[in-house]
Amino acid sequence: MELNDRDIDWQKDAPTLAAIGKAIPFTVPAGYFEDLTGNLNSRLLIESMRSSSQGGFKVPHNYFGELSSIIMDRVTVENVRVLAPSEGFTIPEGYFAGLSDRINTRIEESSAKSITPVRRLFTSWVSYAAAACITVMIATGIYFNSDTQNFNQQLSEVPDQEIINYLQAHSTAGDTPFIIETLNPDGLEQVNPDVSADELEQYINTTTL
Amino acid sequence: MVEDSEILEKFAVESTRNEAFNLLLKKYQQKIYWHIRRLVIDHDDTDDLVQEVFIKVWRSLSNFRNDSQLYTWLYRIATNESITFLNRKKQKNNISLDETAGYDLAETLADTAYFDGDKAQMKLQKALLTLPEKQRLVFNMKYYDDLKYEEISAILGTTVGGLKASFHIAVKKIEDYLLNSD
Repeated sequence: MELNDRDIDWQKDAPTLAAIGKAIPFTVPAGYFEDLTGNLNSRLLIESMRSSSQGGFKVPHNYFGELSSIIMDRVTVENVRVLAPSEGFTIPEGYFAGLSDRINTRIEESSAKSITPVRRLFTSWVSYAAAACITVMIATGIYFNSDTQNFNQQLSEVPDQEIINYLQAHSTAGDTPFIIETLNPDGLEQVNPDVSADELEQYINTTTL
Repeated sequence: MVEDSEILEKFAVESTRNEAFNLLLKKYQQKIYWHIRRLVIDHDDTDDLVQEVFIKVWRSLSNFRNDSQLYTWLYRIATNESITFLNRKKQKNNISLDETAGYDLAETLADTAYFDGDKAQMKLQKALLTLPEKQRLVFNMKYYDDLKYEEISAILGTTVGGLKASFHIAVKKIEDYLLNSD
């Protein structure tokens, strides 16, 4: 390339730049270069001490020579542990995935086979109690049934006039609707038709409360 | 001035190693300082980098191969450290949410306490900061250090032709900046 082969006379191409001059305008602190060699030597001393000294500690003979192989052995052991957490034993593939289902199935099967009659502790007294309740109910029914029949029999033996007298002496206002309901229509015809309504009302008022 | 070969010979011997390194420091510390300073502008940053560079030199000098010049090797280490430092600063600037906290070499130039130039020299430094990093590197080594293109090529690993082009473009940009900016 023409440009690359030409060692340019830059002062002709850049007269403004050439006029400035090559003086370095930067300065350094006073005495900087006088102290620089000493400062660099101090820094180098620190660096060499840092790299060579281990703070007074020592290591066993050939420690670092064997360290890499020791570390690699440990790494190998760790890798084996990671790859074989079962300590060498293996299991069929998917063994644990179906294990719980298989266990549950076996439990259900064994439960179905071994259903044996179990005698219950409460069977005897509950049945006895039930029998007693039934007996009491039957007895009560018989008793009340027989008592009612006995009452109706005794009542039929009482003369009608005594019942009428009793009702006239002890009846209340609440008995009136019951008497009306139980009146025999044939009996009503036996009432004397000469009795007026006023006499009848007066009779009711004097004989009922 | 002690020759590089003598420094290397003395450094190879345990008993004269420190003496050799002191000779190396005295010979190159200012050149390395100014090379870094022109790139990172701030004195304190430069001081840190100079120390880092020479610590690396101390650690690696025993492995230095004589097939390259000692000072080009030193410049290469210094350049790499400076570029790494600037890139780290740029990354911090990119991830910072606070725009005012950004790393700006122009601001650093304006704020630096150790500047003794006139307005024209300040303008030149501002113009240099507008250049891409590689052009700025090539310009500095050619303009201030008067290194040959072959030497710069050994430091940066770039062809001589590419370096000439970079320098030519850099000069044109700087001239334009000096003429056209306030």
